[in-house]
Amino acid sequence: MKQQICENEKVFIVDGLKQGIRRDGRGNLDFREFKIELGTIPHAFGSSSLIFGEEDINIICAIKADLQKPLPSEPNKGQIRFHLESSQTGSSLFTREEQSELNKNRLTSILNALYGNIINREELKVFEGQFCWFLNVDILVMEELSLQQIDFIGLAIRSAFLDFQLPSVNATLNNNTGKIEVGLVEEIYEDQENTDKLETLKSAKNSPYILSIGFIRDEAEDVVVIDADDQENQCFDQLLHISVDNNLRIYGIEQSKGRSLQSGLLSSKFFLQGNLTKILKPKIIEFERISQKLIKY
Amino acid sequence: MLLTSKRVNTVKFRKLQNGKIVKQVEEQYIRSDIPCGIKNCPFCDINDSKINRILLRISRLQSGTIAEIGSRSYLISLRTAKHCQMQSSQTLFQNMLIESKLNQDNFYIRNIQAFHGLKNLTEQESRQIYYFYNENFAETFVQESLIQGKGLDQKIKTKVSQVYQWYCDHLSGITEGHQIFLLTENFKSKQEYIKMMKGQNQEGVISMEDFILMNQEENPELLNFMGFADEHQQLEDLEMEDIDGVEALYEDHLSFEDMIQGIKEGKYFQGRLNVSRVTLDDATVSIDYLNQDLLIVGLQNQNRALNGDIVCLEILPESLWLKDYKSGQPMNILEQEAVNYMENKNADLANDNDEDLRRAEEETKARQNIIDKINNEKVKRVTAKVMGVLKKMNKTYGGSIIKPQDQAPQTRKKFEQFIKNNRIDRKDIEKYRVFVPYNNQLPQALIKSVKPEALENKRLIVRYNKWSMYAPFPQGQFVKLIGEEGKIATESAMILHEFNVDTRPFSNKVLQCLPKDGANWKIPQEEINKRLDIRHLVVCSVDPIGCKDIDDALHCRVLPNGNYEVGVHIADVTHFVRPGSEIDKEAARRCTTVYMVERRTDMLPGLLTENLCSIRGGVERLVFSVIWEIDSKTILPVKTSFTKSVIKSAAALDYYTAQDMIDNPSDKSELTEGLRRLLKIATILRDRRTEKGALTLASPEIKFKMDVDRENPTDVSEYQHVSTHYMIEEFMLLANIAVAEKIVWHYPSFAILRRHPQPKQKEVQEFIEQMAKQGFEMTIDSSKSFAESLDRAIRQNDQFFNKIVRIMATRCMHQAVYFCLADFDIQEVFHYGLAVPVYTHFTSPIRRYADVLVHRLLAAAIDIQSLTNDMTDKFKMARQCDQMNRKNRMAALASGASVQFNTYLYFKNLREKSNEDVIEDAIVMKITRAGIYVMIKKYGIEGLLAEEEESKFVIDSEKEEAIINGQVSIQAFSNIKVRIVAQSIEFRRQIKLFFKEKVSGDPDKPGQKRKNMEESKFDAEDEVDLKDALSKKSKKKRRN
Repeated sequence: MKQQICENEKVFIVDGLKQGIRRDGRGNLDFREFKIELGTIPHAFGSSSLIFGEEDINIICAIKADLQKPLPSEPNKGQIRFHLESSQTGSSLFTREEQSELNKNRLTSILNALYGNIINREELKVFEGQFCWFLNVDILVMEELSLQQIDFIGLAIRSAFLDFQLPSVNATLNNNTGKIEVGLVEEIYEDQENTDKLETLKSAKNSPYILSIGFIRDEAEDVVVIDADDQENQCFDQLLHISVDNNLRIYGIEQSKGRSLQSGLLSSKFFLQGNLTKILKPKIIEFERISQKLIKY
Repeated sequence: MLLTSKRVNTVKFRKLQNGKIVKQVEEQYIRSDIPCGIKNCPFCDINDSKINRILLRISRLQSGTIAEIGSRSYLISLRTAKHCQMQSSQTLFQNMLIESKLNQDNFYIRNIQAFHGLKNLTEQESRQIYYFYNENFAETFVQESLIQGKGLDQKIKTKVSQVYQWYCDHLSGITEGHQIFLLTENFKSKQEYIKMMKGQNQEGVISMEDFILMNQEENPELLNFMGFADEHQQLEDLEMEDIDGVEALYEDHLSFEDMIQGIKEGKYFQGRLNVSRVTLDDATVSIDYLNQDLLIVGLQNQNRALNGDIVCLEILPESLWLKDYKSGQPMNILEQEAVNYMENKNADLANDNDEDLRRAEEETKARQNIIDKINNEKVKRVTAKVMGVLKKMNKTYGGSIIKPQDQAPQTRKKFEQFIKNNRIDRKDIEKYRVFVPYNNQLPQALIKSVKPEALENKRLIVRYNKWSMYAPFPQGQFVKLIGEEGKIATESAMILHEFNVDTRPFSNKVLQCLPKDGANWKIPQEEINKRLDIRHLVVCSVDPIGCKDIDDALHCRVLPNGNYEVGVHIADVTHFVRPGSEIDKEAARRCTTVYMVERRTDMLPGLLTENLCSIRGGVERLVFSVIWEIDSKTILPVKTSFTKSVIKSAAALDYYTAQDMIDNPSDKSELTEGLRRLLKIATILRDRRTEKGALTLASPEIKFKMDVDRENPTDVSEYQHVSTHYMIEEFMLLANIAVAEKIVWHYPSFAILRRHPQPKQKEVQEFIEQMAKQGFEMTIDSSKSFAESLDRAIRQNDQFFNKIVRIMATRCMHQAVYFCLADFDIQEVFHYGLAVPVYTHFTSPIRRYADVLVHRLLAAAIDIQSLTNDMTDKFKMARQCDQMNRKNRMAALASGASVQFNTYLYFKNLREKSNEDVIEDAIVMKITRAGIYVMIKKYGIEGLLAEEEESKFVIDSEKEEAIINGQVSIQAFSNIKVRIVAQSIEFRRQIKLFFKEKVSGDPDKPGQKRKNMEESKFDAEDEVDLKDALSKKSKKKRRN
């Protein structure tokens, strides 16, 4: 979290938002600029890197897969783990270590809540009860961690899943030991001709986005802000993170600020009028368009 | 200017050995300016000097090679090169030229030894070998993904043919005479390559056989290599077919995966196979956590594993365990340890692999049960059988081939079986020969040669290859010819090869480290200023006759206060051998000078060994001195000092001259007086040491007198010890102990010391039991009590008895070893034999590397030099100690083998000259299942008593008693007379000892005379058989 702002500054920002004017010139429902690249880390199974905002903040996401025994409670589901790092959490040379440790934990828990089922984890099954893919999602943020990055972290993860490929494996029974062994059919080269031996995840295409929605209650008209920066985040009455897929199906909601859901955005006049859908729909469509482009490359 | 023109990523998914599936990315930088390696090539823009530099470098990355003879160049893949190297030798590679190849990493990991061999071979400039970096060259680069799924072999072929085609195109513009050939392993792969080529390029593909034929005029020796490649193929094909009517002689080996699996589950065990030196039938495998070694009896159970292989074992059912098994071999720890060391050497190189295997040996329950059962077994010996070979020893062995007419009947039978099983054509039989290795722990092998006659009566080096289930012999592949069999030089060379002694001359790099002035080197004045100048003292050295590497000298004078000043001066080798220099590295590799009867393989170049470091008479030399002030009354050192100094030796004496000088009462020179004083002090020191419990151990020492050409031994005798011997010995011990104490005090964490562990009850058990039968009680608790009990073991009228007891005692004790103090507690480093708490080697830096290290430590301890980082790294030091111990064992064994061969030669010559049987006194050392061990008193030769028609033994190994011809009974330590015959059976030369008679050590045996006469009669008959009329005559004369 960057510097705290004072009451007067808050008034300035809030008044601006009420009039639909933000300090960087965006409208309330505009996203910051961003750029995504896929496959930037060749030795990961799936990777992406994303640059956003005027400060060109870089987020790198890599997914690595490992074969492991699934949990007994979910014998046919793989696992996904998120590991978030930034310069602060990586080295003691930086100041405000503690603060970024807290932010890291907060962000990781948001990711777990919203993205725990980003893909259909049954797709990671290799052999029921014996072998499943265990995905480690490493995210590196080239800046101090804060809530303002969560939308783009989500976008980077989603893009990495679009890039994600698993080699096809076969499970065989070893007659001598009675154990199941998993092996590659042969060495697989990543190449155009080999697409049949590499599997992409079907559910990755429909995986959700994360959208952060800031909400300021106002008697005239409630203000809804998307993709807020750190200063704006401090001014909201309520801050919600929603993971939603392109069919506007909500996967999860996490609240970062505000008292209760009922007294906030969800019960506001604004929401009841169905405006949220109107706000989200164009964003999702925009994202979708970008994703489609990425896949084509 | 070398430019990177392109970058290529190869991404692939792989399964690792530990089961993980990973994605690997290989990034290659492809360039377009790699030179073809042919001098004066007009197309390659690189001048000659640069090529020369590139020419010889082998890179860890991908590479290929190219060489050139006259106008012909040969392209050869690295894999083929490895293959050829194995079956052939230097000769083949000379003038050959090579190029190619694939991922060398693969090759490197799989066969590191072959890799180093090839590297050494190709590094010599005269060979003209060039490695071509085909994988980094744009025109020969083959995208990995295009050839995926084809198998390694096919991949290599694709790449090589790509290179070859490029070369053909590249050279097509150059003069006609310049031809390039693609050399392939055998006919089959030649065909495959041809399929891949187009047009006229096909003509350039040749097989090894074609190559030999093409070059036979220039190099007729090449013919020896012919045929092997074919045979390899042929036998392989044979196995694939279903063979009717051919019985498998051995069980099939398990697959590698099955073995690993079995070991993991605790079904199988793994360990090094150690074949008995006495009989091929017995082998043992020692496993750390088992109380007893596993026994593998019979070739059937050994299942084609060779000595030194790491094998996978299955424990046989309990009913097959052996009761009352006694090893056929008398205890000789020296040999056992040497074998372990030899094996360790390979283990070091393959550590990765071994690690994996070891990890695989998880302790499972089933396994624990077996282990417990074995560990609890007290009576029987546990037997096992070999299920497969996990790792081959992969060493080459020296030996000879037998002429068909000389084959022993047993060998003949096996040979015929081989011919039958492998359906060898009648006309080809001629090409096969049975190879007899020098090392009798190995079975005979079969080799094939186009002209086997050329190899007869020669010593050659052979590599053991495959051993098929259907063959009674393993296949051997000719590697190298050593020379004519029976010549001392040849035999010595072979012995050195057998014991891994590096006999190559010192490289230029090493020689460059020597002083530039060579033999004219003078001590510079500034060096003298730095040192203690004691050139005025009367210093002398006493060494064996003919010793050229004199590393120690002594002086003794009376100080004004009446005390003695005694100085021990050791050649300052470290002045010339700087830490980290090439010469130091080479010495660290060799570790020790190896003494053979007629030659010496030096640790340091001759200039140092025989000149600059050798303390010769009348020459000023740099030394490291230990100087004591000794109280004249108590003979206790009052003061000890260590210093580097410069001396001028008054005389280089030998033991006998020195003794004569001391004994000559009229000689009153200062030198002689000094020697007398030294002798006096030494006597007192020695007595004091013995009192403290130092052991007097013995081993047989023989001395040979050689003829002028150093070709034949003319006389052999036991080494004569005079009192000057122990005088020198005593002061060396004193110096070593003083230095050891000093360096332990200064460097308790990495001092290099020498320790001699107390013998364990288990190891000396056999010896103690044997002595108990003779009525002597042995206690080994401390060296003092052991020394005393050895002193008590005396038999009336039999001086030799005590000596042989000491020899046997020595055999069952561990050898002293070097170690780094870091690995041990100071309490554990006691030197049992010498009965001193710490001991090290300081006095022979010319011939032992340990002394060089100790010199450096001592120099640092007295603050004149600082230690390098390597010296303070305890892991490196521990590794160096291992290396020194290993090399020491090898050197000892090589010397032993050399003595043995010379003894053989001596007796052979003796017999030829005099036509008389040599009859000598001998003593029985031990009677075992395998036979009767005797030692000849005069020469210290030992051996198994051979059985013959007229002397048949019945051996009762239980009671250690043998009955000869049902009449004479002999026990351990009986005195007997033996007839010595030098014999060579199938090139295993040995001294055969035949029982002659029992010496009446015990007069209470009646009828002895009569028996002797009967035996004489048998002898006479024997002579008739031998049709040796001359010898018959002379013998009769003698008898009369």
